[in-house]
Amino acid sequence: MAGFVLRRCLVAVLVLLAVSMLSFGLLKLSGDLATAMAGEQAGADYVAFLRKEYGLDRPLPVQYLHWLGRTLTGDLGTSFYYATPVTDLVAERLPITMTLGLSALLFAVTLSVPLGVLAALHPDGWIDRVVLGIALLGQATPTFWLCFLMILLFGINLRWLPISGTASAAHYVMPTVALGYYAAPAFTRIVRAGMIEALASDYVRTARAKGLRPHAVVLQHALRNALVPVVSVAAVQLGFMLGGSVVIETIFALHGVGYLAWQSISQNDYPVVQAIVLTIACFYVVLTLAADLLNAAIDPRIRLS
Amino acid sequence: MASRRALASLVAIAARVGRRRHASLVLGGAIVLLVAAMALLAPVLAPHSPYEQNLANRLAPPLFLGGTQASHPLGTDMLGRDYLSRLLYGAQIALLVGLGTVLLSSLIGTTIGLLGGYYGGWVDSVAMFLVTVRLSLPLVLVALAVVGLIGSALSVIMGVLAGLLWDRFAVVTRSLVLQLREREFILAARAAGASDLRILLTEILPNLAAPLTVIATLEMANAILLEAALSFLGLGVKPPEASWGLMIAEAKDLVFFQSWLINLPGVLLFSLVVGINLLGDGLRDLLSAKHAD
Repeated sequence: MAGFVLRRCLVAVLVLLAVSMLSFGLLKLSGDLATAMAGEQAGADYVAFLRKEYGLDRPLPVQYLHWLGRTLTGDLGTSFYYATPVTDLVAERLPITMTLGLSALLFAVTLSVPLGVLAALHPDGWIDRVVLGIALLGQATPTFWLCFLMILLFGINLRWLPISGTASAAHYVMPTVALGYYAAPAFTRIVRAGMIEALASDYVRTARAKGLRPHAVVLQHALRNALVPVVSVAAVQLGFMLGGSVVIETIFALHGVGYLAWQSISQNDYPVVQAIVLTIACFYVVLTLAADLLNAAIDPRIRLS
Repeated sequence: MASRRALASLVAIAARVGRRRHASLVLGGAIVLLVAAMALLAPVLAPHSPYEQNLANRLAPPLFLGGTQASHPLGTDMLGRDYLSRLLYGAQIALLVGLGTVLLSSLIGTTIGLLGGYYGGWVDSVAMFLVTVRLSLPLVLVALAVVGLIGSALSVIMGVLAGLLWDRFAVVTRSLVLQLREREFILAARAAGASDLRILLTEILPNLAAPLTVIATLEMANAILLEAALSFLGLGVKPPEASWGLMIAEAKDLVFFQSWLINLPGVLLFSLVVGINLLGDGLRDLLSAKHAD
C-alpha cells in the first residue's frame, strides 16, 4: 500500500509540474510583462527597470523557477486590470464556482443513480432505452442553448426562477441543472454497467437463493458494489465541471472563477488566466488522487496490480 | 494482406447493413448527410449572401411565425441579413471544424497510443503521462485562453481543439495495441524481418480502423460543440462569419422577443450532434456484431 501511495503521489506531483510549465508558457506567450505592467505612457527606462526588478531579463528556465517559487508561496502575480493580487481575486470568486460545481454534482448523481438502476433492472427494456436516449440527448445539447431554453421556459414564460445573479439559492437552480445535466450521462452509464455486472454476479445469486426480498438484493447487495466506481467518476466530473462552468457563469452572470477567466481572457489579463488554469488543474489532480487512493483502500486488487 | 482484410471487413459490414435494420445508423447517417448537403450546396441553396445587410429590413419573422417575406423564409437577423443563408453557411463552419479537428487529433492520439502500446516500458509511461497531463487541463478554459492569445482563424481553432481532444484516441489505440502485440500475425511479421514501422503501419493500424472510426465520430461531435461554445463566448469564429454558436451569441439580447433567432441555430447544432452520435453508436453496434460472428 505504501508503495502504491508513494508512486501515485509522485505522478500527481509530476503532472502538476507539467501543468505549471504550461501555465507559465501561457503567461510568457501573452507578451512582455514589463511593458504591460508599466502601462502605455511609461518610458523605456521604467520598462527596463521593471524587467530587471522582476527578473524578466534572465534566461527562461531561471524565470520559470523564480515564478514557481513565488507560486508555491501563494503569490500568483498582480492583475493588470484590477491591479490587485491574483490570489485574492481567485479566492474571492472560488466559493461561487465551488457551490455551483458541488450542487451540479449532487444534481447529476441524484438524477442518474435511480435512472441507472432502473435501466439495469431490465437491460434493453423500454426504461433502458428511454434512459440511454436521455443520455444521448443530454450529451448532444449545447450547454448555452439549454441555458436559453430554460431561461425562456422557467424565467420568462412561467416566471418561476430568476435568470441572472447570485442573490439567492433560487439563482443557482438553472445553472446547477445546466451544468449537472451535462455530467449526468457519465454517471448513468457507469451505474447501469455496474448494476448489470453486479446483478449477474454470484453473490447476488446467492442473496436471491437464500430468499432475500428483491429490493434488498438490489439496494443492499448490488447497488453498494455498483457505486464504487461512481466515486472516481465523481472526482473526474467535478474537476471537469469546475473548468466547464465558464459558459454557464457568463450566461447567468454568476461572478465565479469561470466568469473571471472569460473576462480576463477578453481583457488580455493573463496573470489571472494563468492562475485560474493552474488552480482548476490542481483541483483536478488532487481530486483524482484522492479518488484513486480511496479506491485502492477499498479494493486491494488496484493497489497490488 | 492488410488491404484485403480491410476490404473483406467492409464487404461483411455492407452485407450486415443490408440484412438487418440499423435504426440509429440510418437515422444518424441521414441527419449527417443532410447537414453535409446544406454545407456543400450552401452557395446554390442560399437565397442571399450571408453577409448582405439590409438595415431597413431587420428582424423580419420567419414564415412559420407569420412572416410575409417569401424571399426570407426564415426571416432576417438584427442586421437584416437573411437567416436561412446564414444557417446554411454555418453548416460549413461546423462540419469543417469537426472534420479538420478530428483528422488532426486522431493523428496525434493514434501516434501516441501506437508508440506507447507497442514499445511499452518508459515510452508507454511517457505516453500515459501525456494523457494524464492533458486530462488535468480544463478543456474549455485552455481552449479559450489559447485562442484568445493566438487569434481565432479557423485553422488556429482546429489546431487548438485537436491539441486538446486527442486523449481518447491515445487511450483506445494503446489498449488495443497491447492486445494485438502478441498475436500470431504480428509475431509472424516480426519473424519475417519486418521493421517496427512496417508492422505498426501495415499490420496493426488496419486493425484499429473500426474502433478509431467510432471514437472519431464522438470527438467530431465534441469539437463541433466546443467551436460553438468558443464562438458563443466571442473568442471563436469572428463576425461577420456565420457560425451557429456566434449566431446564438449575437441574438442573446433578443431572447425575450425573437427567441427563434436563438432556437434555429440551437436546433441545428443539437440535431447535427445527435446525428453524429447516433452514427457513432450505430457503427459501434455494427462492428461489435461483426466481432461476435
